[in-house]
Amino acid sequence: MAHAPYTPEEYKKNVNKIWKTTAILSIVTIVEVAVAVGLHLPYHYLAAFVSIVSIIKAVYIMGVFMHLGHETKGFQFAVLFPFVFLIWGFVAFSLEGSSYKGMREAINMIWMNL
Amino acid sequence: MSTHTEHELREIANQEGSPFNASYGKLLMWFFLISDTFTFAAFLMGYASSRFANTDTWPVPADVFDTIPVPALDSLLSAIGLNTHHMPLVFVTIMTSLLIASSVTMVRAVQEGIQMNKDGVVKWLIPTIIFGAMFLGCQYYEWTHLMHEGMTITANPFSNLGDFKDTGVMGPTAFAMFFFAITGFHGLHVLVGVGLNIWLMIVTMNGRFEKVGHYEMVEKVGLYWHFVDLVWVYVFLSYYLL
Repeated sequence: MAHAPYTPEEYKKNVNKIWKTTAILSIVTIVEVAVAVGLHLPYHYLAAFVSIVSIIKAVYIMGVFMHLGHETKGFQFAVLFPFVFLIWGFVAFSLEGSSYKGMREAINMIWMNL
Repeated sequence: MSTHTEHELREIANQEGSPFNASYGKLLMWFFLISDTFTFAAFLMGYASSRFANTDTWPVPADVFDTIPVPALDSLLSAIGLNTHHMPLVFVTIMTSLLIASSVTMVRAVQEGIQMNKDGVVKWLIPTIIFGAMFLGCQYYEWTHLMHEGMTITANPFSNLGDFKDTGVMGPTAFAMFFFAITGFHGLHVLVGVGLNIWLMIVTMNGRFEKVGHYEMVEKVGLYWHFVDLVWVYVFLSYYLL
């Protein structure tokens, strides 16, 4: 069912929450790009930092902008749980690529001999 | 049983017994978005395996994407005295800000919809559409600039070991192919989203939601638009920063 209109206090509070979240997201993005380009971190630290920052951004966008924070716990779980598989998939395929890099010569030799 | 209008009866049926007490329309939109997430994730997984299989030659994105392809903006920044040939990832950060800004204006439109404020909804949908269209324009300039430099789906002149114009050797094709495929697929979603927002604005102005009694459609299109924004955050992360 559609939401009933907010009272004036609720309305002001909700609008302020949006502007506050926008400020947080903007600062987080600027920091993220500045660190990624400015500091020359070793690759694994860069990957971890950027991944964690992006999860923070996703939490704010999904929780506040998409109102997922207002839904029931069961629904939040139903939406968020599949991401576990996606994260696993991304990591698994990254490792797969790395391993292929090391074995490329051997694999191609075997493949061509078939 | 007290008398209900047909519309109210439908609303009651929509609510009663629905999973998680959410309206069916919203549920459908959420589950569609999850399925679309899997499609984008599949692209990113393919990208991940190619990217890590080619770490020797994979170009550094900060070096490839370091200009401002929009001529007007380029001239403006040069006029202030900035060196527009070495601005790593500045343009793509501008694009990210455009999309986040359009998400913010979309949320305000949804909030005005909850207040049943027709003019407020239209007022906030207009910047959403404009920012979305600006993002598409930026993506167009980025694409044409890269194609000018010789990057196509099958040819990539950029490489960690030196660009084609310096070494005469092309870089890994996967870089170019995934760039155009992923940003193109995402751009298609943005285009559809801009179209949806234009439709939404028109039907709002025609008074459709005052007749129906609620502005839930604004919320559903809003969910789609935030999804497009979120996907861009992750494409930006995976492609440009990792």
